[in-house]
Amino acid sequence: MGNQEDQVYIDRINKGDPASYAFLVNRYKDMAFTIALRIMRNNEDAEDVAQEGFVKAYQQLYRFEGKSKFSTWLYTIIYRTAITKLQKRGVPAFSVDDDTSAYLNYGETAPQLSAMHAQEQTKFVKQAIAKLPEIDGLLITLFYMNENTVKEIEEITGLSASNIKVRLFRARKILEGELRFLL
Amino acid sequence: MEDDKGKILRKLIQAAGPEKTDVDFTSSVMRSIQIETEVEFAKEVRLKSIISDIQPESAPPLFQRNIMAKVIPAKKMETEPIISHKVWYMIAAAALLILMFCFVSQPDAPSNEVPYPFSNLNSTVYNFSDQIWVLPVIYPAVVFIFGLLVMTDYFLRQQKSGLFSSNR
Repeated sequence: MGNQEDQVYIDRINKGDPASYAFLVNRYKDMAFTIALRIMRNNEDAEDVAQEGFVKAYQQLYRFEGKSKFSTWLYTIIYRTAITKLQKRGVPAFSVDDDTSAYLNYGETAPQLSAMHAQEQTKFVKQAIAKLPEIDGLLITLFYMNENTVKEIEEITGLSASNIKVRLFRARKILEGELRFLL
Repeated sequence: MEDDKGKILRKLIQAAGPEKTDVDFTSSVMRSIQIETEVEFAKEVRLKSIISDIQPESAPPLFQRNIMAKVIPAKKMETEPIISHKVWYMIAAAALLILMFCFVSQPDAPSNEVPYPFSNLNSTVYNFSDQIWVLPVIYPAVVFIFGLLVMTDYFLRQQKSGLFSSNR
């Protein structure tokens, strides 16, 4: 249903009603920003990337054929915009160090579960995801938060299905360690 | 298949939800789009203005002729002799007929002595000339009419075959 609704607005935009794009921006801005944040690691850059991604998507909207979901297509643009921006700065897009043990804080004492409100819980989960390598954090976000399929994640990131599954597994293990007191 | 931990993890992550953008995020995006659209429109107007000032290229001198030559195939100039072979054959046949008549029929006057050599040939020629004058007029008239008819038939056939070839 969401896809059909998106297509209605896309058709309107292609027929010369740019104001209809605001609907799509409102709908997908949070996830787009989150994806950008996973890669860029700071809010300002993430907002710039997300905005730039939306503008690019608008300019290329006539190319959208509807073969995939609009969100998948949009997130692909956001992702590539973020990667390109990182590369322009000379920052490697992927963490060189694959050793993720540094992210495991086994030494820290777990916070008191009973004292943790829902908001704090949310904050803790987000912090845990933010600690993951950029791509792993993105994969967790897309797979668990946005419920994208592996195929859709393949389309967005360009990674192979096997690579995605391995990374998801690894990231999940890390998160399970980080959030053990919640599981 | 996810285990219990995986399911709980999924629920936790979904409960955490995506990051929130600023309040004016959408308006910033729409503003950027509007600016981009105006810039693109101005570029397009400028480009149109530049292109419209440019004169089209001139075609080469023989361009039109070359095109028309490919479009309309040239008609073959069929040259025909003024007097066709058939007519020549008919004239030859008529002359032969007349000659044969002259040789076959008896001469009225004896041949005279001729001081030239080949007296037989001369007598024949003289006999021929005599015979020509004594030929009944009906013979040359028939030959003439026959020749005329044959020629008319020939020209009519030519006309007919010419119509067929033009209709193809």
